[in-house]
Amino acid sequence: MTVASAYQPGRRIIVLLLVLVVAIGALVFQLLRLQVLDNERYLAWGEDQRMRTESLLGKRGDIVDRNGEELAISLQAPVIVADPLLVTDPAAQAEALAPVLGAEVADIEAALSSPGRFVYLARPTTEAVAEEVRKLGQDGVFIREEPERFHPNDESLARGVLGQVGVDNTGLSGLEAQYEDVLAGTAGQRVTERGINGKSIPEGVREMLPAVDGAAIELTIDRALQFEVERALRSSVEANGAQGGTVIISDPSTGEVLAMASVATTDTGRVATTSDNRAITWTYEPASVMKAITFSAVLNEGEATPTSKRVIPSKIDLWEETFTDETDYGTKWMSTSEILRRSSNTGTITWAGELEEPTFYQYLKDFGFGQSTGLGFPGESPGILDPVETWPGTHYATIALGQSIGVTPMQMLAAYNVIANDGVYLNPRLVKSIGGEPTYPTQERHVIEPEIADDMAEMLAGVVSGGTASRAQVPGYNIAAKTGTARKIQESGGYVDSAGYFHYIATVAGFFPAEDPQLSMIVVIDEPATDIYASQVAAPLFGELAAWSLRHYRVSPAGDVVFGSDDDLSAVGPSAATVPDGAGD
Amino acid sequence: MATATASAPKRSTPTTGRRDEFEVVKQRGRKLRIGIVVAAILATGILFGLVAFQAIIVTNQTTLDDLDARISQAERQNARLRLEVAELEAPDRIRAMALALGMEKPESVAYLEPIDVAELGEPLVPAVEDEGEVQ
Repeated sequence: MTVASAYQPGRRIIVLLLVLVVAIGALVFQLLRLQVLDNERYLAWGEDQRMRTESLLGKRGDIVDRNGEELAISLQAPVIVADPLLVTDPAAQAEALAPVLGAEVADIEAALSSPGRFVYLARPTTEAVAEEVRKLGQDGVFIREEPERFHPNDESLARGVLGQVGVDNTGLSGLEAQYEDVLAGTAGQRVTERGINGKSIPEGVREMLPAVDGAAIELTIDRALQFEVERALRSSVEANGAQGGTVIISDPSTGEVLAMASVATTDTGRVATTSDNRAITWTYEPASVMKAITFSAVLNEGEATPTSKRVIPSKIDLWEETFTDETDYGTKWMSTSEILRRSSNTGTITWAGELEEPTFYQYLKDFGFGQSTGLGFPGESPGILDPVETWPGTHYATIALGQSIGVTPMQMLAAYNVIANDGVYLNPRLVKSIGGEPTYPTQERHVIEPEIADDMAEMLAGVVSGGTASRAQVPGYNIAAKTGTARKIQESGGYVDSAGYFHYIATVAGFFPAEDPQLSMIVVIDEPATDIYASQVAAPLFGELAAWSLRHYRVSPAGDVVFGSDDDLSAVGPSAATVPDGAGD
Repeated sequence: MATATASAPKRSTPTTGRRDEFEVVKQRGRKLRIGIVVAAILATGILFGLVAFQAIIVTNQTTLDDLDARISQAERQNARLRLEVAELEAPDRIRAMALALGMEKPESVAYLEPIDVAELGEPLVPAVEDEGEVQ
């Protein structure tokens, strides 16, 4: 009876049923939790594991020269990154990585031990380094690719014009910054569903928002000419012991800049291309190159012709200032052409006095001084031109001589282009087309009459054939140019430095061939040490580059054709005998 | 009660007399089995077809992924080659190569002027009329 009472099959079944109910209940609860209560979380978790979102970077647009030659292009370059959470032994891994990356062990170890899940170890780097890192096969260290800007010619060619981009491929300076919105592409996105092996899951989610590449920019720059200009400019600055120099060559009929270079002597004595585009961003007093602009206004106002003569004194007292020429010749009958050829200060002041100040001021504005050229280049200087209402008594005279006015080399060349372009001002341009769409001048104005422009071209040709710019001659061609030697304003505001010395800037501006201008050029040499005069320092470089560019663009000689040896060439080549060194420069 | 058997006549029978007790029943069992077998075969076939189709999709997806990777690689290589060509064409490299080959920049340039042929006068060598007469 006891045994029978102990054996209670009903209870066992009940217990079993209870266990089953609990187990099934647990399963149902888990099912509910997975499918109903927490389903969003697990859904997201699963999607997070499967869904891979990749950012697609739009390729930064290329910058090419006027012939389609690449000046700056973007490529995918490797970068070394790490996920510190996956790094197993930061110290040992840093020990192995540091020599490959060329970094300090401590820096790498600190990066590998940092909080967070992403850190750059090398950005950007080379394929060779990436391959070495790949061979190490370290945990948590990965190789990714990011776009990097390359300059195929070398880093210095047109450096100041092109500008630079940062490590994030964003333009920082120059045209890279100016046209950032055009060059930078629009990022896209690709979402794919991938399995555990990283392969796409067939018929899985696949969404694509394509990246849009940046537009290519075609410059007006000619790569070959740019290279030769930089090479010759570096050589000239080095030979003259100068602080730096700038050269711009343009097509006066279109305003297109064909070459634009600035170099400077570094602290180590090496002459290198500057990153700041001094041709546009630097302002200085141009001195006698301004006389061509003054006489353009005088002739256009009908006050004189190229042959008009006057008695010119070698010394003029104006208000409390005394203006003199290079030599004391007393008085002399001089034509306007001769005044320009000899670069007479007193002769220029005499004729400039015929102009009403507001009229002269308007000419200066029309020639493009005291305002932006319209290039829109980052850091472009508008120059300095005081309002005519504020001009003191001597201002018209000093401005006529290229003082009391601040210009950029680009502004001065654009003004000479007016003379070369039948009296019409065209704003200079550095960009020929954007994304295949051509650009056009945004400023065009009639400044002087075409016949006055012809007269001025002839007068300027006389400056080269028998005046201060004779060393800018090119055998077989008529070159029109004017020299200018300016005292450089010091930081103190005056012309004399703390040691009591003057510093000079030598300029030659002009165009060629004089009878049918195809090219125009300005050469500026900053603080030459060998000689101060533009006729000695800047004119030879002007002539050298004029000869090179005329050959480069196959411009036929118009003057006497020269045959034979170097001896023959010297007979018609630069002659220092026509004008005393630096006289009236 | 008699039930429908395999031997039951297929024709309709008169509804009078004792034969009214019999009812012709369709032979459902056999058809059902055949149907099940056919359905099973069809289902198996469809399943195999689906599996095969999925396999093809997976294979094609893998091929597509490979092609994507190859396209990316080819684009990268193309860009690198473009850079290489640009570097080879760079003026500074050409100048350095020219100097290394012993070339020099000329001190000056001589221009040649074409001469009017009419000014040359009579040619020094008479025109050849007959090849046989040339001495």
